[in-house]
Amino acid sequence: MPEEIALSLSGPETRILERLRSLPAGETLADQDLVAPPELTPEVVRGSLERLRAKKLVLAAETHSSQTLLTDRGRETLPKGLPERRLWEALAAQPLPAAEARAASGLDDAEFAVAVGQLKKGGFLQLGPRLERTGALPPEGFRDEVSLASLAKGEGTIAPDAAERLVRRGLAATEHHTSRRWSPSPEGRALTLAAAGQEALGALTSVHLRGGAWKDAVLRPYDVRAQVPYLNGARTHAYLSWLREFEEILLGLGFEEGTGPLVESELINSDVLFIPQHHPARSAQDAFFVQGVDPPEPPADLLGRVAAVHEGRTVPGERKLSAGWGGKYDPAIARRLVLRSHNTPVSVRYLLRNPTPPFRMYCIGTAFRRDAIDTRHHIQFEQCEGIYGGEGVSLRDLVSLFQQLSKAAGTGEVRVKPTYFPFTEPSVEGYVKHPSLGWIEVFPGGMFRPEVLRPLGVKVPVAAWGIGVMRLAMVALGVQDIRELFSNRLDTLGESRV
Amino acid sequence: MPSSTLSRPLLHRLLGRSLSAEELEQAVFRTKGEVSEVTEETFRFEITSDRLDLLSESGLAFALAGVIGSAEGSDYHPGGAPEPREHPLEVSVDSSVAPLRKEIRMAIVHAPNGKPLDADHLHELIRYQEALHATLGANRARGSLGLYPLAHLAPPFQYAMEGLDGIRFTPLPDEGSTTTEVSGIEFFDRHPMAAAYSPLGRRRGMALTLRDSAGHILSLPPILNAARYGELAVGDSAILIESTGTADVTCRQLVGYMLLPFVARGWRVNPVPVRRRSRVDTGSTVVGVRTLTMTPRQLAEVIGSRLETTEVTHALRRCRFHVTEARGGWTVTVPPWRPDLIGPVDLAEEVVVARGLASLEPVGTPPQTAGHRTPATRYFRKFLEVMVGMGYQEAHTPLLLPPTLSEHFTAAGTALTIANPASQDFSVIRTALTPGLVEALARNASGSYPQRLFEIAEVVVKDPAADTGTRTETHLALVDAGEGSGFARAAAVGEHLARVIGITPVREPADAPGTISGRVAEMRFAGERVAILGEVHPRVLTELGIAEPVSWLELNLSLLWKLKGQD
Repeated sequence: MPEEIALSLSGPETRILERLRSLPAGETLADQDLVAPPELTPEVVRGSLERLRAKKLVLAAETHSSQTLLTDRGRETLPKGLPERRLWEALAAQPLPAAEARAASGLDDAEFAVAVGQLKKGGFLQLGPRLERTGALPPEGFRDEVSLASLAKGEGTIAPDAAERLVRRGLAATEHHTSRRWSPSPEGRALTLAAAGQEALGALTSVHLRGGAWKDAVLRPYDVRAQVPYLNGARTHAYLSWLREFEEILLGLGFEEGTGPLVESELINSDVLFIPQHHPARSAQDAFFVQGVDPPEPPADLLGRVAAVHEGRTVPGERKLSAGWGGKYDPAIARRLVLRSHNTPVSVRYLLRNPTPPFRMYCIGTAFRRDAIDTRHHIQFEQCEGIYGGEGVSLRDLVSLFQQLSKAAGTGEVRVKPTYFPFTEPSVEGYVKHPSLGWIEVFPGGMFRPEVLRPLGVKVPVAAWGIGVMRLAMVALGVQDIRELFSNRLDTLGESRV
Repeated sequence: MPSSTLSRPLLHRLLGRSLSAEELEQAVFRTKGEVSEVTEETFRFEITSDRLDLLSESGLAFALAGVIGSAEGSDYHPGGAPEPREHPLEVSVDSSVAPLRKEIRMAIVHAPNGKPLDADHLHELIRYQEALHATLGANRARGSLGLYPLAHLAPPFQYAMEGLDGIRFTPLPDEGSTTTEVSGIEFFDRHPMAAAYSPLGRRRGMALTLRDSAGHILSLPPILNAARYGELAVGDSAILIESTGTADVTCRQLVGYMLLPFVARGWRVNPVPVRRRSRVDTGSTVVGVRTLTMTPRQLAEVIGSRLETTEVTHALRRCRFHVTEARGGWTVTVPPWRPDLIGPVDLAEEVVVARGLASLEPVGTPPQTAGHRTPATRYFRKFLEVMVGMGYQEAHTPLLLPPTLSEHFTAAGTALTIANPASQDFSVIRTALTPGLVEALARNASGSYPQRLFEIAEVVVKDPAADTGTRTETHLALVDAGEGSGFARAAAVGEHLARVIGITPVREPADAPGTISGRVAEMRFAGERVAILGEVHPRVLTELGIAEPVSWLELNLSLLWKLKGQD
C-alpha cells in the first residue's frame, strides 16, 4: 500500500528519502552526509535510515573493516616494558627466590604471575627454589614485545595471531567498523511523497490539541514493533520485603516489636549476657570497636550486679547463682562501644524495662561482625531476635515455637541439637531440611541463664533465640551471593518476581 | 568451633567396641559435637567451646561410653597434697615473673601398675595439648601447657625470670632429630619456636624459666620444653603437668582438661602446691572436685515437666558424674575437666541432652499476648507506599561507608568511625543515607535514566545525652538522577511528602557538603530541621562516574515522629 507507506513517514524520513532520490543513479551517500542539524542530528539520521530500510524504501551497501589499536594498558606498558621483560631483566645478574624476583622486578602479584607464565611458556625460565633464566632470547626480543612495538609505531597490520595474543592480554583491542552507503530502492524512487506542510503528525503535543491542528492532520502510524527505551520500574526491595513478610509470622504468634541502638556498650552487648570478657567473639578480630565519641559511664547499679555474676559473687537480694567465670571483671571493658554484634542487646533493653509477664518480643534488626566478605558472609546482616518469658516457660516452649515458626515459614520439620552459647542454658540449634542443601542451621536459641536474668531484675524464665534470617531469605529468594543483597542494581531490583 | 582430627581405631580401643560411621555420628549427635570426614583411620570432630574435654580420644571415649550405655558414673578422686619432706614436690614462684606471665599451676599423674605411657597415648597427649593451646590458651597467650617425665626431675621446682646470659638450654628436638645445648641468646636468635612465641616468654634480656632443684631447665614457658627433662617417652609412669599463663582461671582449666586423658585411662592424680614467698596454695582445688546441687523444681523450670528422681539420677550418671540423691534434689560431683558446669541450669542441660531433645513434648499453648509493631515502625512503614508510588525503587545500602564517599557529603569529625575496620571500604558509620544512595547510582551509571532510589534505614549520630553517647535514628532519603533531576524535582518531592505527612514546613537556604552552593534547602518545622535537600555538585558526580544530574532529599523520620508528639 504505497499511500499507507507514504503516511507512515516522519518528517526526517521524508527529507532523507527526498535527498537520496535527488542523487544521480549509481551514486550513494554515507550516514554523515545526511546529517543536517538542527533537525537531522546523527541519531535522527541513523534511526530514520533504519526505519526507511525496514520499509524497503532505501538500500544500504555495507563494508566491514577492523583495526587493532593499543588499549590504555598497552600504552602504559610500552615505556615500562612487558612483565616478562621486567622479570627477565631482574634475573639478569643472578637467579632469585620468587619473592625477591618479584620485588626486584617491581611487578605486582598479577603481573608477576603473567611474567612467570610467559617466560615459562617461551622456555626462558627455570622454576625451582630460585627462578633462573634459561635459553637464549632472540635478538629482537619477546614476540609480544615486537608486536606491541609495531602497533605503537602505527606500522599497521600485524599478524592476526599476534594481534589476538595482545588482545587476550588486554594490551590491544580490535575495533570493528561497518560503513554504509545509501541509495533509494526502486520502491523508494516510485513512492509519491506528501508535499511539505501536509506531513503526517508524529508525537501529539499540547499545541496540536489546544489549537485543534490535529483535526486536519493525518496521525502517522508508528512501527509498533520498534524497540522502546528501558523503563526502571519501582518496587520495594525484594530482600527487605521478605523480612517484612517474615515479621508477619511473629506478629501472628503474639510477639511485639522491640528496638535498640546500633552502637552499644559492651556492658549491654556482652557483659549483661554473661559472655566472658575474654571470649574470642569479643576480640578485635570479631567485633567492630567504635571511636569518635567518649562513652558515658554505665549505670553503676547494673554494672555492679553484672560484675557480681561474672566474678561468682552474690547479687544483692539474690541467692548465689553460680561460680561465675572467675577472674576479675573489668568495668573499663564494659564501657567500650561496639557495633552491636547480635540483636540480643535489644532483648536486654526490653527486659531492663521490666515487662509484665507473659511477654513476647521480637526484633528483626541489623548486626555486625568483622567477617571477611565472600559469597556467604558479610559484615552486616539481619537477625531475627526473639524472647518469650513468663511463669512456666521452658525449653519445651522454645522447641515448640521453632516448630511453629518453621511451619509458618514453609520450611517443615525442625530437628534440634544441643549446642553452647554463653548466655543460654540449655542451648539448642534447630535445623531444617533444604531440598538441595540438606539440613541447615536456622534456629539457634535457649533459655536465658539466671546470671543474665537476675541482674536485670527478671524473675520468670525467658526463652530466647536469634534466627539468621538473611540466610533463610537467600534460600527463599534463590540468591547465591550475599553481596547481591547490597548490589542495588536497578534492573535486578525492579524485575524481582512478585 | 574448636575441632581436632581424631584416631578412629584408638577411640574404638578405648571404648572397647567399634562404631560404624553412622553409629559414631548418632552417638556424637547426643553431645554438642559433630563428626565429618570419617575414614577408617580418622575423623574430624568439632565441638562447642564449652566442651574442650571432648577434644581427645580418651575424653570423647569417656563421654561416649555413657551415651552408648557401656559405662556410667565416675569414681574420680584425686590424692591429697604431698607430705612435707626435705625436697617437697612443689613449685616456687619468683615475683620476677609477674609483669609477663604471673600464673602457674601443676598436677602429678601416676600410671596404673604395669600400664605406663604407650605410643598412642603419647601422641594423643601431644595433639590434645596443641588443641588446648589453640583454643582456651588463645595460641598460648592466655595459657599454655607442659608435660614432663617426673622420674628425671628433682623437685622442688622454681618458676622465675632470668637473664638470657645465664640460660643454657637443650631444646626439645623434633621427632627423629637431635639438638645440642645452646645459650639463651642463641635460642632466642635462631630457634623457630622462639620466633613464633618469644613475646610471651621473653622481655628484653630476660626470659621465663622453669627449673628443678638440680638446676635443670625443664622448659622456657610458654615457648618450648627442654630435651630429656621436658621430653615424655614411652614407658614413663609419672608425669608432671604444668600450665603457665596470664590468668589463673585459664591455667586451672588447662590443667583440669589435661587430666582427663590420664584419668580416663586409670591414672591417679595428685596436686602440686604453689609457693609464693611464704604463702602456699596446696593446689588441691585445681585437681579436686566441686559439688553442684539441683532441685526438682529447678530442673522442671528448664525442661517444662517433672521427671522421676531415678530417671534423672540415671541420666546424670550417663553423663559420667558421681551423683547422690538427696532430699530435695541431686548432688553432683563435678570433676576439674568440666569447668563449664557452674550452676543448676548447667546440670539441667546435662539431663536434657542425656535424655535427648526429641524427648521434649511439644506445647500447644496459644499466645496470650497481642503481636504488634511499635507505633513508630508502623508510621515509618507508611512511607514505603508513598515512595514506590512516586516511582522510587527501594534500595538497601550498608551502614559502613568508605571514607572517600563519606567525605563527599559529611563535614569532617561528624561521623563515628570503626577503630578496627576489616577494610577501608567499611570504616565510617553513616550519619545520612544519601551518600550510600548516590554510590548506588554510580553502580547503575551505565543503565538507562531516569533513576530513582530511596531507602528508609538507620543512621548513627553523636548524642552526649544518650547512654551510649550515640543515637540511632531512622531516616528516609531519596536520590533522583536523569534529565530534569534538579533542585526543583527534589523540592517538589519534599512538598509532596510534607502534604502527606500533614505539616507545612518552611523551605530555607542551607549548606551541605557535596552539594551545589545556593541549591541546598532545609525544610524546617516546629523550629527543627526535618529535612534537607539539594542538587549534587558536578565535581562529586564526575568523581563517581555519574553523567546525569542528581538531586537528593533526606528526611529525619525519627525527629518527625517525635515532633508529631507520638513518641
